[in-house]
Amino acid sequence: MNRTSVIIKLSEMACCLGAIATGTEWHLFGSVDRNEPSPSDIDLMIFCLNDNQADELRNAIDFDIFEIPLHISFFTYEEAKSINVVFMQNSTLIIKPD
Amino acid sequence: MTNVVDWVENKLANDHEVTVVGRTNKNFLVIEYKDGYSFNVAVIGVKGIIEDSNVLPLFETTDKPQLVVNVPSSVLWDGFAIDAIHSEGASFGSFGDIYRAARTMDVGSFRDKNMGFFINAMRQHSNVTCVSYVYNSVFKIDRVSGESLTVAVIDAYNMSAEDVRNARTRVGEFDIVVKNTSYGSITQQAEAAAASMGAQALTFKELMRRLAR
Repeated sequence: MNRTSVIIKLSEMACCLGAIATGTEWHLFGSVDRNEPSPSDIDLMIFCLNDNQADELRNAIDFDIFEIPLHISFFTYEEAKSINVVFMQNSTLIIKPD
Repeated sequence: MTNVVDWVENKLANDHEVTVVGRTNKNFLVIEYKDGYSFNVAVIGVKGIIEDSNVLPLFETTDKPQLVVNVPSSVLWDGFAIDAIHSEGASFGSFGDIYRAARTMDVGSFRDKNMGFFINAMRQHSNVTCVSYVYNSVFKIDRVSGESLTVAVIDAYNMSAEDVRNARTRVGEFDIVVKNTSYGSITQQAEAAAASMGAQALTFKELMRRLAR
């Protein structure tokens, strides 16, 4: 499992989610984003337009699609900006569903 | 639950760190680590909440498991189930914990590192008399002075409002929700979400201060 394969699978997931994911940003960080060998988990942040979208995505996403644990943190854009989480986690924007 | 046992055995088939060397008559995996150290792993496939009725039968044998693993990992372990496992000198966890437990060379005493840290810190607090499991990440804290508190520990570097709402959905009511790491931060929205539930979102340091009051 490498960074590219993870992004491909997450992109497929985002696509399958359809309208629920519209307007979100998906940011990868941690060992997978650094493409380290044998990562123990996948760290992802999803920025949402509002609380409802975050709650809906939590319910809609299949967390067991990878062989290793998928950890997702959901933030509204306002929250993410307030703590400058992109800088803090040194994350990379990988998906921005239309 | 043969399918989940097979799944774990297959996952370990080409592993160089641990080796499945057989099964017990109760279908527990016999796993060998280095220097001939071996242990039994019971694999169960419960979804939702693991209760004591799910784990007690596992110990009705002479060849008991030292580790109980559930597939999938995203479940809650009820406090009674945890107490039942610990009282048998065994531990519990997810697939990845097979490796972590093996490396301790004392699988039955294995404890999740993050939760172990919290439990020890809370037990050592001068105003705390007892720490008991509600779930694997939720604890009831009995205190010398002040009412008992229910503390939910969440796996988040930065705690968001959604983390707080999700914790409430998963584990029910709590008095305090705390991050499992001292690093990172708690958003104002997370604090507001907790307050709307009559709870508090705290860092570890803040939790220690709160236990005193």
